[in-house]
Amino acid sequence: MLLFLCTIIFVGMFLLPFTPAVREVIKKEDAAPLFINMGYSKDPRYFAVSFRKLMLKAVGDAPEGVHEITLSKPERIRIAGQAEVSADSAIDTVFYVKKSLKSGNNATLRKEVYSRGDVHLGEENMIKALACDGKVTIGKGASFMRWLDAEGDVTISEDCHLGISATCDGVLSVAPGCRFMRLYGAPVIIAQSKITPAAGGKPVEFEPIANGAPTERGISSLPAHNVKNCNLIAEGSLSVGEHAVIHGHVKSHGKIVLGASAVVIGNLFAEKDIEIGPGSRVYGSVFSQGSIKLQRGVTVGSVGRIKSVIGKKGVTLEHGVTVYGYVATEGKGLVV
Amino acid sequence: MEVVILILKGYLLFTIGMMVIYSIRHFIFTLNRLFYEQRIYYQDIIDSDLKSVTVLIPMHNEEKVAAHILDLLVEADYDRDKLEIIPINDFSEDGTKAVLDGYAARYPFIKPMHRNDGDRGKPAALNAGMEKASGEIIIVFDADYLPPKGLLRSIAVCFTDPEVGAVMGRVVPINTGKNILTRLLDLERTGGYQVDQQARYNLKLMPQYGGTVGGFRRKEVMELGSFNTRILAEDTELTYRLSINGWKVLYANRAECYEEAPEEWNVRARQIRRWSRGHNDVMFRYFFRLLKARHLSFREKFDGTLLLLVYVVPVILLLGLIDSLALFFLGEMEIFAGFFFLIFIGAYNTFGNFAPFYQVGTGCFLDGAVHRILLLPLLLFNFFFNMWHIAAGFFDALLDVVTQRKALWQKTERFRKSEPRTGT
Repeated sequence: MLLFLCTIIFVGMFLLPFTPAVREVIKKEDAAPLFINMGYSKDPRYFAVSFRKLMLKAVGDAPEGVHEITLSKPERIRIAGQAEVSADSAIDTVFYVKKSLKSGNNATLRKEVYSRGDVHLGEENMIKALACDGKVTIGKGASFMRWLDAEGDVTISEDCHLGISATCDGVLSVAPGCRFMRLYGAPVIIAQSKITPAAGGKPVEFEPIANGAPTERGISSLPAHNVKNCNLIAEGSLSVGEHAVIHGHVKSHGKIVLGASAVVIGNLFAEKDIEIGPGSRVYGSVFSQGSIKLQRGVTVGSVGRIKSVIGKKGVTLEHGVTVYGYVATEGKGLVV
Repeated sequence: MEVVILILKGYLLFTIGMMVIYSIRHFIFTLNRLFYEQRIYYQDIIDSDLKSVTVLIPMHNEEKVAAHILDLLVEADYDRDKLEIIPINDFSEDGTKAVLDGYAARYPFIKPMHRNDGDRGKPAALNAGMEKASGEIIIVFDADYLPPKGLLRSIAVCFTDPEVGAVMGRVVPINTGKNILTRLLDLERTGGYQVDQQARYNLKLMPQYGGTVGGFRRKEVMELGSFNTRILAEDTELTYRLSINGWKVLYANRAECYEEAPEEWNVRARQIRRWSRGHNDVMFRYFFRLLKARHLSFREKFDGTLLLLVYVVPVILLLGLIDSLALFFLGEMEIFAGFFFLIFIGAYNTFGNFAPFYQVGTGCFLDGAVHRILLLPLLLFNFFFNMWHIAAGFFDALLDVVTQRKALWQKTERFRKSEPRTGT
């Protein structure tokens, strides 16, 4: 009897750790495959594109006035033709404007706004999200909680918070003091109030860096005015002198410091920070696991080509910087 | 007899030492994923000048699944002018040829290749595909994989880094809920990719190119001699060949793709035995070459060595178990007397046994799939199953080396229930 009891206890104790597993095998509470979004395609304007689709489907031919619609959840929406939001006032519903939208200073738009015409926002506005089919101008100190997107040009004044992303199909002009996480424009330019950067122009042609291009390893510095016609891989940090030209891609396992007016016809990759000197030109993308600082007058990319500036810990853009394409950071994005 | 006992005791200590090393490695990876800074992959880069891509899909009797992967690849968001898809019909005896020809008639960028002579098997098929390919980058899928729309771009974008020779994406079983085996394989994949591979990428060690859902530079790999048709683990061999020659292998956790996991234990047994045989073959060939490699850091060499030995560890353990039984029956189990031995065993039991389980559990946690963590104790059975078949694969590889025999490729059986489609 004792032996039988001991056997039962032993078997029970042995099986005990398996009981939650057996329960899960039987109940299958978590048996579905991990979710993969099969339709996902990288698009810097993703939020706005999907929002526009949702809005247009939900609004249909609805007349002006306040309605109930379903976006991702049931919402109240105000539909207007030409709209003007007066200073210090607030709109608490989703706002659909068929023509153009203008707001006074200190206006608050607590829900998403979709304007089919141009938008002019006054100073110190607070907006959840804005999609615009025309041009957008934004006054000083405006703050976006989520995103901003336009089909046309976007001009952003000083000291704005640009939420998760500020994107457009035209020129995205951002003034000093603005903070961002992602910018996308054709191009993105950093303008002081009286400076007009040299955006636009003819496409710049250059020979793409071929697969199998020669690679020089172990380099730590390139003197001023030197020219390299190969890829460069630095085991540590890399310093490139003023007016140096690199016809190749550059990879550094440390920092990269590019002197003034240097030219790189290729991509820049660094495991640590990247600092690009005044007036330098990088024709490829710039990627850092640390921070990136583009000093005044730096140009990344060229007309007709899309390139990226990705700095994990931060991106700082000085006045006169032009980026043909995409700027993103998980850290602090700052225009100075 | 004393000498035999000494050897047995020495081996047991060696076994415990190896387990401690691997346990520490697993723990470092787990803690890295949970608490330390993560390196970002290149998927955020948007670049209009990505390289041209050739997708190679080796297929042997794949009429059940061929249409599925081709349907998804024609929807890929990659620039059509830079995309070429070459399904390689490798000695198929079913309707694979008809399926591929149907797609070729509809889509000019799908260019099937029908192989009926020469070496058989995946490495030989890939070599033939690379000869025909025009893309700068080769991306490989097995026929049962289901690539999402943006996957090609996610893989190709990393080659904007001039140091990257190959990239590996994440494999996710689609038939997870089929039975206990598929659920356990799902756990293994979760731990292996979400924690192990990503941690190795974070720590700048040596992520592994896995032979599918991954890509590499065509010209450079061909210059290094293409794939060795005598090796079953052509993916592992490529990882080491590229690394030794100064290229980096990256892991892209966000480049996810569904696969079909084996649904029967005998199929899984053959698969893992084949992996072990191929991996150990690479181990025999690359062990010393890795240690002498000029372009690798110490930490890369150290981790690369541990990765190279990963299919030897179960053999060491199996022999260790036999060893401990022998010592027990010889009455010689007491290796060290006293307090230190207790601490040693206690530490091993605390950290060693549970390290891989923490890794899998952490992977589930990061994926937000918390209920499947309950299945962790069942990995015990998988552990013994794997140990046996990996050991068999090790001895296969040993025989391959000794006898110089050539290993024959064995395809993993498909389980998808669907009628063949021609694509027309």
